[in-house]
Amino acid sequence: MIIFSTVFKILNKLKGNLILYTVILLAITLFNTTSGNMNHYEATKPDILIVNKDQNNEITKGFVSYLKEQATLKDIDINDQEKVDDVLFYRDISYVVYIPENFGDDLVNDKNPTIEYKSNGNENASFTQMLIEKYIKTVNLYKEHYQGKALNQKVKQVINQKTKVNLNTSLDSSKLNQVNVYFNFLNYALLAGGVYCMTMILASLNQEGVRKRTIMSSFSYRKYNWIVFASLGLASFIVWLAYMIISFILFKEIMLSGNGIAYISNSFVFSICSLAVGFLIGTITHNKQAIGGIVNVVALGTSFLCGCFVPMSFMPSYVLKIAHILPTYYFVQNNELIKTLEYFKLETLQPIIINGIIVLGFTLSFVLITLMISKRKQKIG
Amino acid sequence: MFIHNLKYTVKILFKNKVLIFWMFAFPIILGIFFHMAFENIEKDEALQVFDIAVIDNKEYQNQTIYQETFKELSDKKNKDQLFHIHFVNKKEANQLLEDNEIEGYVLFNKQEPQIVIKENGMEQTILQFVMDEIKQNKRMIEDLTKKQIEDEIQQGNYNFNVQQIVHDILQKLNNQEVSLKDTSSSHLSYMQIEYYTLIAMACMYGGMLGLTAINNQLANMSAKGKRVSVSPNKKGILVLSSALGSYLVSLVGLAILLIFLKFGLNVEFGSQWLYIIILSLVGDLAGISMGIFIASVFRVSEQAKTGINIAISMFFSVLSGMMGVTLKYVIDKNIPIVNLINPNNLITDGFYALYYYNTFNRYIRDICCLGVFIIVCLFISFRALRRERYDYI
Repeated sequence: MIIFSTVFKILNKLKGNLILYTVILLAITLFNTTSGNMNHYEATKPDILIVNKDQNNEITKGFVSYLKEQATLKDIDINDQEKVDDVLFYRDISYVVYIPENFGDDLVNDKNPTIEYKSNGNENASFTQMLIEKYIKTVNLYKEHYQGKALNQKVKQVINQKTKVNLNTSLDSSKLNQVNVYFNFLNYALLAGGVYCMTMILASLNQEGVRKRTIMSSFSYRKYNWIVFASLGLASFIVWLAYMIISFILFKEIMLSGNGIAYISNSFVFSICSLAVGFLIGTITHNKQAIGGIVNVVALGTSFLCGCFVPMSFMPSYVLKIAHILPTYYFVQNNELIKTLEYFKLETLQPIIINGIIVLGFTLSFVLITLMISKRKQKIG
Repeated sequence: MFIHNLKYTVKILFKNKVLIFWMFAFPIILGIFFHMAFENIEKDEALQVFDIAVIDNKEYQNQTIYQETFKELSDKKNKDQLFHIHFVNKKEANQLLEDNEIEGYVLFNKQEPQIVIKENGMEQTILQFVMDEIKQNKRMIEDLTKKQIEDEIQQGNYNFNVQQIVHDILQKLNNQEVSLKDTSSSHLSYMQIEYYTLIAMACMYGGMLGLTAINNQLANMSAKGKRVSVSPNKKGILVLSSALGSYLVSLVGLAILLIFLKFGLNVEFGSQWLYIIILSLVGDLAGISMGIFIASVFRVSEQAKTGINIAISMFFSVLSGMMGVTLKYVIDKNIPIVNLINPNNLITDGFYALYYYNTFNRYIRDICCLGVFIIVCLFISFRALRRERYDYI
């Protein structure tokens, strides 16, 4: 009981670290709201700004109203140039359209007016450009036969011709994307927060003076080791449980679904692996300052290389190949698979189970390496 | 005495492996991780050619306009190529969709086109846009042919060639030019912000050097501090020379990082090198000031002080956009005061201002705020350190 309470006393002293990474996890998750399905098809609307210097012209009105329908107009002060440049840089908008004076008249009078624009070159910007070109081309074709409001109406009639789209899924990918961000980022929180605490506890227990006193005491050293192991296991379980409770608070609906259970199981398997990583680091070194460095490099390195911060689809293939040697890769890959999991059959669950087994394989190898190092150190000692 | 203590502070700090790791190696390791993870992110955000499928059934074989458009939009020689098209049956298309191999597929049912997709997104919207455009073009050709024929009849000309009319309209449709002028800045790489946060983090980690150097002068922190305290030297000179020593060592680390980012990872900083150097000097001083502040205000062990320094630096780094640039922007937009008192953000923002803007207003604001941060930290530290006397310890 003394050992058990000592472990939790040290953990209590380190709670600041756990709180810090939990706050970071929450901030990243809550600020990462991505678009997705709402169980029906919805066209993606690019975020744009319109600076209109031709307010009173009918054709221009029609053009602006079309852009308002097809895109989302952001509420930003267009007179504040720094703000406009900022929103474009940070991808809050993709495109700024500058409609010149007399645009409408010039368009119908064959003067081919020039529209200036600012874009950040992403796919939303390309799509906005397609919308602009389509509208102007349509006006150009009909302007010989129609004028003013009639021309606007005709153009509107034509561009309202839509193709039917069927969405072949019942998943709410919008929420699932956010849950995915949370669970991918959990790698960082578990390693930088959880593993750091575990290794620091081990380092405290393995301080030369403490260790010598423990060995020479009448208490069985094997029993002592088991209690330390069980206490750290329990502490690690509590940390994992706390993260699961937070996930339930944030995404109650999804966490109660099959996908949620799959996320929980996957993270549980990974938390066992992270405990093994903690033991390994704690065995390699007892220097508390060095532990901070090692844990940070491991946590940030695995997070960056395995797609925790950047989606795997955006990462270079050679990085993903390197990532195969890290358990985080299989944890994140499972999260990605769970995100799109719709039917729970052996066939669809098989790749997830295989990845889970690989993570457990990594865990076993970490345990074996830890035992080897520990034995070697004991002999040297 | 000033030079003597300065010299030994520099020597001691350079021999401290843990500090050298945090200050010199860790930012470079992180920079390499950033480079590996973010290498493709900006290339991938541009519109890419994407995979779709078309159900190649009898109905599709009757759709000449759709066939021709798909042929053109999937032609590898066409600079406006949009799609890689798989011509398959419905079962295969569903499997491709299930395996995420395609963004969606096109199916003709009773001569009407339909799109089947698995998730909403820009690719799916563009696929719909293309399908709508074909439909709308068909409608326009019909409309305008009808109008043209009506005009011909009104003018009493009954000898018109319908095929010629359709051909002329098609020519007009395909050969239209829309005049657009791009006035965007050429500096739009938002991933550079990540590297700027790294520089900011290195500046703040410089605080650990300041912290260690000051701790060596504090009687309650180390045996060395006790000896220094009982020596007849002026404490002010010792503290100042220690702070300067740690500043010089951290500047060496920062210079190595900047050279590595510029020449090793090709990070863009703009061309205002003098201002970049000034910002680095001020930013690093802010880090050292924070280290001195933590060393003098917190009455805890040296290890705990280092932990506080790392935790604060990491937290500030996250807020300044290290783990996602969006967070910096969201805070800038909604609670700007947080980022105005966050030294990491001020350094990051200063680099951003030099990279993106042609004016210096924002840069000067960032430097001024950093100046205030430095003054506040040093003032509080000075108040905490002065007249500290021990009868026994």
